[in-house]
Amino acid sequence: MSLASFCVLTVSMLLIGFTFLFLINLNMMIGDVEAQNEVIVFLDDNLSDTQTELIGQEIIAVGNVSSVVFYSKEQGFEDIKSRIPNSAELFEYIGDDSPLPDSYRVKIADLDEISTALMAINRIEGISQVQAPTDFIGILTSLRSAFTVIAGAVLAALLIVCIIVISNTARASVDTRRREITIMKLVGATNEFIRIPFFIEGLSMGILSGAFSAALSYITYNMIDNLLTNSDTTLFTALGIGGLIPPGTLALPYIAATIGGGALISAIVTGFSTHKYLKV
Amino acid sequence: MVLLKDVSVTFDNGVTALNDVSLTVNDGEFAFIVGESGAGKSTLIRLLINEIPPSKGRVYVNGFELSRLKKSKAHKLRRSIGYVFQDFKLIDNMTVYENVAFVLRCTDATNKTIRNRVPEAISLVGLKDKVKCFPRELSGGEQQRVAFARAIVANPKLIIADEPTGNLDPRTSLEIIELLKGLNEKCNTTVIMVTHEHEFVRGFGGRTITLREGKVVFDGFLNPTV
Repeated sequence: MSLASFCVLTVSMLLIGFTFLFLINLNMMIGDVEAQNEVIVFLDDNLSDTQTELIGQEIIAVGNVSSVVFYSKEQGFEDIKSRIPNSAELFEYIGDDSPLPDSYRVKIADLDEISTALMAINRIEGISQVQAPTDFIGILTSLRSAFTVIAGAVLAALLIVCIIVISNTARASVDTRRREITIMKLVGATNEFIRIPFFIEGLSMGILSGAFSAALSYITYNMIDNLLTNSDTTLFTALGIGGLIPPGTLALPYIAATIGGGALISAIVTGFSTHKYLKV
Repeated sequence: MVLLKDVSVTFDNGVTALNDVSLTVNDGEFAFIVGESGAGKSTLIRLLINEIPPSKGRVYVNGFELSRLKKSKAHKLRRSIGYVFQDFKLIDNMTVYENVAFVLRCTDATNKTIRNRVPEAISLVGLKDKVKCFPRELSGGEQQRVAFARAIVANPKLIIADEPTGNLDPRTSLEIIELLKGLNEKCNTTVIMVTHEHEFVRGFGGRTITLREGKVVFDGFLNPTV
């Protein structure tokens, strides 16, 4: 196992780890932002309590809805008052009666399917207007799709790099031990006996590179997390996002997946490569 | 026993290396196979150790019919053959003992078997006092003796020696052939020695098979002249 192969493999696995961490955090953050967005369903005036309740049930029946909360016209008016401070004159002019209709605040479970849900809600009798942040949601979903595609491409490219490095290492290893292999073949060693040392060598390289890259990426991730959580105001808090996935939650599955992944890739590629180059 | 029945080997490039060769080497026999470069000697060896299949005919070695032998079972055939290379093919970073023991390790022998057989094989080739030496510390003749010890340690039924004297001076070559003859007589091991040195073999005598352009042109016994 050459040091160069080990380094290239470690760096590749480190980049795979970072890409993966970036992707799951991005997904979580987009999820956070998405969760804060809601659809406001304004109801017609002069509906009875029974009719209002029925509309609420019909909204739930549409499906793809995670929560439905009723907002009376009074609650809505108070909400607006609290959001626009120093406007007492304006609200004095409007008076105590709420000019807003009753409404339902609806949260959609799968935002990719929001248009179908909106169409179904719009068809319900007694609804005057449906307000949904479709543009913003559209941006978020396309952002997530784009990042998923980019990260997928990066992961695929890095995986190919890993396969080439492991395959070349196995080939070089076979070449340097050609003499030994010839003797082994002619004295009657089984194919497995000849292949096993190369397989173990590849597997060890995968495990070591995996462990090394897991440790490095975990330390870096921890540092980034500390940096962000210790700042008073961050971009995340401004956006209402909770921050990164806590390192403690990630540690065990991430390290196990990186070492296991490294071992698995190495085992498979070394197995194929030695089979190809040994010709035993 | 080695038996070839109407065997031909034609390579993909159309070259026929062996053409309708039939021969038998019985158990316990010592046979020289001689021929010039391109006569088909190497092809014959590759055939016997199951490295290449025959294009035509049947090959039997130590009870295995090679055209029916699966690649995954080739090790069984090879365990019954001791192979000696022209360039010795010793492993440089292993001592004489380790080089010889290496064969047994490759064939899953127990440590007890290794401890018993290796010193025995080394003694048989007269290198008892060189067990701890590395190949670079040995002369060409001594290195070839180690190769012989390695070939016989697993107690094979057949020894194939491929130009074993090719890199040695005449005196050492004679010693090596004497050693082979001795192994053949003491252990009743079948020996096939392949060489291009016609004159040398003529001087030594015995069963001689001459190949020319892929065909057996002589198969008989020569009287020793030395």
